[in-house]
Amino acid sequence: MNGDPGSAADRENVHRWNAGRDPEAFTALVRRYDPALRRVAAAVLGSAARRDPGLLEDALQEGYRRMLDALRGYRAESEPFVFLAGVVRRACLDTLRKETRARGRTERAAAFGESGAGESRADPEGEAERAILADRVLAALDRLAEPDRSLVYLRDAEGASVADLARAFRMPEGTVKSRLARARTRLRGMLAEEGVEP
Amino acid sequence: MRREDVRDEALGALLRRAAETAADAPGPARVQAVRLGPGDDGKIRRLGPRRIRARIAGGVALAAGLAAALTVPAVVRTRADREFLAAAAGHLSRTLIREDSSFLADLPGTSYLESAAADWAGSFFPADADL
Repeated sequence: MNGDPGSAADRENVHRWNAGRDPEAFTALVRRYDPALRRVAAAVLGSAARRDPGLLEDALQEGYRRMLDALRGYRAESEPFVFLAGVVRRACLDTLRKETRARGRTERAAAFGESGAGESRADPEGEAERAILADRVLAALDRLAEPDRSLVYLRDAEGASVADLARAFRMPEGTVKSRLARARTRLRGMLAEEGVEP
Repeated sequence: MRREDVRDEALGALLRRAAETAADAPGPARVQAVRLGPGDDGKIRRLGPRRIRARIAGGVALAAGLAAALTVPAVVRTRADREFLAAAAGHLSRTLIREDSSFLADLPGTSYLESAAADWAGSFFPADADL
């Protein structure tokens, strides 16, 4: 998203929403960023979203609801996408916390009890193979603690700049870089454990 | 490009593909495929009534938030503005709640989602005659 020519229009839409609460501007932002923010939500929710796909929709919806007011805090020096991703990320983390509390011990025990059932991974369809690969990649990503998980995803998968990430995560650029380097090394190790070589 | 950058790019591409796959609308095939793993029985998970109610309430709250932001200037808004707002609320409902998701397709009276959001948005605005 970085350096995207659409960013100027996006900034304008943020400005229109903040200045006059123009619903068209907000809807335009939602339309444009929904696919990317969905990916961000999937990356942040990780295995929880794989367990319960509805969780992603819940978190994203909550993120958009928060955005109505949160956009006031947007400073035009960074890419709108990174700011919006930050709002969605926080909504995902809160949704995750709520979900973890709500999941009873019984359900967790039942899930563990089912281990080993339905091991039929030999689905010939490419879609199933992609899903299994995604499963492994997200499982590895899941093992990175926040904010490293979000940093590495937004930087490497979505192309957010280090400067924007530093602003969004309120840390010096040097810290972002060192966290990214450590997170990548750990992630590569975990992917190797999952049998995935990027 | 440095070798390190190439490796980072490859890692990023892998992460993005994984997130894209996981972020796909959870249709039956997707859900089933994703759930083929240890601990899964291959059944398609349906949302419970509590989750569905929460989803509806969330969609309506979002549309209401959008509408509430316009409450004050509403008195000077034209019918076209109000219609646009209702359309925006409807769009958001459809986008965010994903009416085509499998769990909603199986529900009777799905259109309640959209109409509730639009009604809520519309309730902030009196009819033209009242202006």
